[in-house]
Amino acid sequence: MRIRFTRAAAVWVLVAVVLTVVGWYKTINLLVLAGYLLIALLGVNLWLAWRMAARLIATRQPTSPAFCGETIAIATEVRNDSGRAVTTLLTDQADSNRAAWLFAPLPAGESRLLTARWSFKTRGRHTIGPLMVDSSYPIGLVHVLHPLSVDSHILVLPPIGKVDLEMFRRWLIRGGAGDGQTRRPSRRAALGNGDIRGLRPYRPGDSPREIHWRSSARRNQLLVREYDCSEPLDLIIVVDPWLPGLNKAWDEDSTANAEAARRLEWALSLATSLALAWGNTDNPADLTLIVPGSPVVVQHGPGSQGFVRKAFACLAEVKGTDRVPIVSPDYARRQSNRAARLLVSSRPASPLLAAFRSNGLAFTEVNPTQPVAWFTPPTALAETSSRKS
Amino acid sequence: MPTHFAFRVSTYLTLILACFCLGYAEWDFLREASLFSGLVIALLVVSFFCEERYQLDLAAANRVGLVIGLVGTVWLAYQFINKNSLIYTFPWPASLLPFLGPLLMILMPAKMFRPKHVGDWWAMQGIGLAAMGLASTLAEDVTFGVMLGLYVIAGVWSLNIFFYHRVGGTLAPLPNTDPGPTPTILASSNTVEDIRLGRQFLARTLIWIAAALLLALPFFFVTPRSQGSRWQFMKPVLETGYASDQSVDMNRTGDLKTNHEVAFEVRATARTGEPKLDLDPNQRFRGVSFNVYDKGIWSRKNADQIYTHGANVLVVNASPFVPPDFGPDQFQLDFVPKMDPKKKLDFVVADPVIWAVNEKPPLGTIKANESRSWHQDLDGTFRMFGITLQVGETLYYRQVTRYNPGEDRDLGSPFELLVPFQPLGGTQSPDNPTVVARVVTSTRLKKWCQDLLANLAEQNPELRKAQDRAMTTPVFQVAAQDFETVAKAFRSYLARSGEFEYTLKLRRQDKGLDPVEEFLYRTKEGHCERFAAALVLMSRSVGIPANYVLGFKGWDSGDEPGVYLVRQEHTHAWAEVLVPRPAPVDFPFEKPPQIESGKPIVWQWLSLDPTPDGGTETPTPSSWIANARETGVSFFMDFIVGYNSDRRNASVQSARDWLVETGWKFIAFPVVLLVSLVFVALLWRRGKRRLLASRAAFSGVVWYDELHTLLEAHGLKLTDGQTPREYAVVATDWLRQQAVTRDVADLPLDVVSQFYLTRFAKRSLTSEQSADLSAKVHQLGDRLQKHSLRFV
Repeated sequence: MRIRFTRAAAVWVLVAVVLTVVGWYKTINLLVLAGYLLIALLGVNLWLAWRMAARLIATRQPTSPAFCGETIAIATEVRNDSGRAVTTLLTDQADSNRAAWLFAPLPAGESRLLTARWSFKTRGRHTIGPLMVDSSYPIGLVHVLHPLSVDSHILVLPPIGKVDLEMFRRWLIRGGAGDGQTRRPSRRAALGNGDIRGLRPYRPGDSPREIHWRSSARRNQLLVREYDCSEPLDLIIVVDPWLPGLNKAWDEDSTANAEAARRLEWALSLATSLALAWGNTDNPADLTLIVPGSPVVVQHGPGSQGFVRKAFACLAEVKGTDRVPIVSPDYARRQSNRAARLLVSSRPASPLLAAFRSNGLAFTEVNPTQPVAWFTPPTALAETSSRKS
Repeated sequence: MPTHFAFRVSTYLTLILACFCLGYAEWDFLREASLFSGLVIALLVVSFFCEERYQLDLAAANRVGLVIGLVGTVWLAYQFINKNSLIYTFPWPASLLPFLGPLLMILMPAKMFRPKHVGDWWAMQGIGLAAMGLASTLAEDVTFGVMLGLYVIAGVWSLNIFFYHRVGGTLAPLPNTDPGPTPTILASSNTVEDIRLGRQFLARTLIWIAAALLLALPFFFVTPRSQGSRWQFMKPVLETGYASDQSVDMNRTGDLKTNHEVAFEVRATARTGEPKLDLDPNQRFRGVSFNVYDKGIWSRKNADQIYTHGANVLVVNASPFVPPDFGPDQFQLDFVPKMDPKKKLDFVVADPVIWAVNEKPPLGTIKANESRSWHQDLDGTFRMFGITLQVGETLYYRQVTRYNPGEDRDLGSPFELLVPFQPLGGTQSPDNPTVVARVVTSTRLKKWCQDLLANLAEQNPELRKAQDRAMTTPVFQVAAQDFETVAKAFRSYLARSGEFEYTLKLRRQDKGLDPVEEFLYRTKEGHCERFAAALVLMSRSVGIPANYVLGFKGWDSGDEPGVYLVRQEHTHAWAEVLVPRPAPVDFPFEKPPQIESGKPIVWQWLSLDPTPDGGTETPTPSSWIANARETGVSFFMDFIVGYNSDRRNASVQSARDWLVETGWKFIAFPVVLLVSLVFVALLWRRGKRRLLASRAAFSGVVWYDELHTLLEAHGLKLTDGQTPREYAVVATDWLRQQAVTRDVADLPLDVVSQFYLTRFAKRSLTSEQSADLSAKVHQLGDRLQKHSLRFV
């Protein structure tokens, strides 16, 4: 526990000393008593604040990784583990986010769930807390500060931009696998949204909405529409976090360096945004994330939002490097043939692209110098892309 | 969380009390300041009701402040110009103190009408405290003490509520500071009225103040006191006590306060050397006698020699002191002054002073290894002579006296007059003591006394004879043989007629009238000084020589047998009249004796006490309330206001002695009891914690606990053996029956399902999910609270 005297307390003590000294010197006992009483009240304040601070215990609720700019709830359960009510202020903070709660009071044995709704402006591992008891009850002259919980952390993923998934798919088909050959992915028939492939006889269970009444009347049997449904396409994203000049004198104010950092963030944002959009579809395909480094990070799983938050957590702490990225082509080869392969790089002509192609792996590259129409970067990064485009 | 209303009530009450106390304290110095405090209080009340609707902006408030400052400066400047101002009456710079009061008071409303931030609220509390500090230097009576206590209570109460509003972020923060995030206030469900008035906060305040006093008082008592005299700010403190100056002012008004300070200590020793244990409880100790009265003020005039030289007279350089021999009943009294050495205290001696012709003086001073007799002055009084007291030296003086069985204890030693006593009229020396002791200027008083004597004489044949004899003189002059009869009749009239009442409240109804005459004709109430003065002037009005005597009457037992403490509260005034008595057979006349009724006579001073009830200054409390009040007043006056180094030393010594002798037995038991209680309390506390931890109601899953607490508060309790799901089913059924909660009736089931998953399947919710569930529970709580629903 830490004790902090306020400025008011300093004035309080000064007044008490003046009253006591003047009262003692001039034998005005009421002044002496008033001075002592002020000091005693300060002592009562300290004692009560100390007692209040020691009565609470707190438990942080687990927090999943958040995206940059996303408002997330940080919940903490605080319990009064004593036989008396507690009146105190609690403060919590992470970066520039701050929150406070005033228990006025928290009855004995009861607990409260304190929820702070914060958003983070930068990706990375952010420290939360500690949740502090700032007890100055009952007069507020002396503060007793006591951390209720140890520091915890939250992973903040890159910021999310807007991804037009249909446009992305068309972009993929149009650009092939980066080898200039347009490929049409295999499709299967399905009822549901998509291009109409043809008609077929009605089967029990078909929706009446799908009955093509004109053709049914013409053929004298119930016919329903049949749609083309796109084959779920797996997506392999390789991120090349290239950032030049790290082993040189780094000047954050340097325009070139700042631009390089923005490009890296753009690439990470694109990769994350695309994965999230990929997982938001009705029938999401598998996702694979590959980040070169030592060791190489490979995350593979169903493209759900939960998986994206979990798998892409590694991007929260990715630091750019100017080393030559090395990724074994086997990581990308293991996946199915129906996978779209995308290399997201912070620089044009990533050496990884050449390495993959030389091993027979078709990859499509996207980098900040060649912005794509299907991706609208978040506001913070829009400046870079617009300038370049 | 107290409301803003409670905050304002407490703050304004504190400031109003501070203003009231300051106004009360200023009353005796600067009446206009007291009236001004009333105006300020009125402004504060107006501000209290108007603050929410009307406030001056900062610029306007500053302009008003400037105007107030200018008016204050002009007023202060006028005080310097006015030569009758207090500034020139009291010593500089203390004389400025009363003038600070109005300046302090005006700051309060000046601050109240402007927009305020936290610093301004602190500043107003500071102004209130400064006002109380100033008031404490000007007043110290019990009434002020009560008001000071009320101010402390209101102040701490106000500070507590101020704390809530400051921390809760409901007050504007200090400019240019980081106020931090505005906290979410999580208040428990108290009744609206309690919250509105902050009642529970007031109750807690009393406990904190009691705790603070318990901490502060021991330090206050053990702090060594400065040797300076008690601060009274030049205020004529009306209290029972011996007048330090050589005059008595009968014009004083006000409440006479009881002063328990020890004036002197007397050690009585019998001739055998044993402590004398039977000192008269009404023993008088005479200090100074006054023989001149003018416009309500008694003073002393040195008069001519009153009697012929005896052996005692002019005994100069009689060293060492050799006591006279008064026979087997004589005893000696050793006087040790206890008052502040800076305060002048005339020597007081047991009344009457018994002396004998051809004997040694009965009084002597003893200092270290030196002793010296006193000498008898021309007017018959004894006086210390020939011993110079150095600073820091201790001194005591000794009196030898006696109680002769059958002898009138009010009667002094006999002597013969130097000049035969002459009735009023004719040519007489203005310095003749018998003439000085008969001066009365008021003819109205003389007429009143003659009428009174005529009335009294109707029922008393002796008085009638005395009146008849007096009527035969050219000016109404009671014959010497009737002095005692008439003076005693007057004493009885004052003390026992029932027309006059003893009181410590000194009042004047008609300040144009002489205070003694006003006492006799109008008020008919007062304390011993007025009774004594009245008897003296009444006696003088009919030609009886009389003096006014100031001294002490009664005593308290000291620490040792034979030691008596005479306190300031024992101060008393009485009259002494000169009466003739037949001379003892062996009286050594130096001149031809005066003959009355064929017998030689001698003269004696007779002490007469006209105060009703024997003149006890402190009436005995009759009920426990009066007892408690008296105890409280005594504690405040003796151990708070009047606590000085002497009292501290005495208290420490008493406490030490008591502790060493018997006190440890009384201390040991409470200490053991206290330790046991603390131990039991700790055990109980630990048990309570375990109980809380083990209670099924608190599962460790916060939103389930919140739901359970909420439903329990509305009458739905978890019964023994009931599972959470059964409990939730009951709750859901109940909520479905209520129109306002029908749409959220499934919440208990949802919560319990999540509770089972969390508790038994170990599938914890994310923060977001927990927060959402908790929010739903709170929404349900709001609805139940709003519609006051209770499960039956």
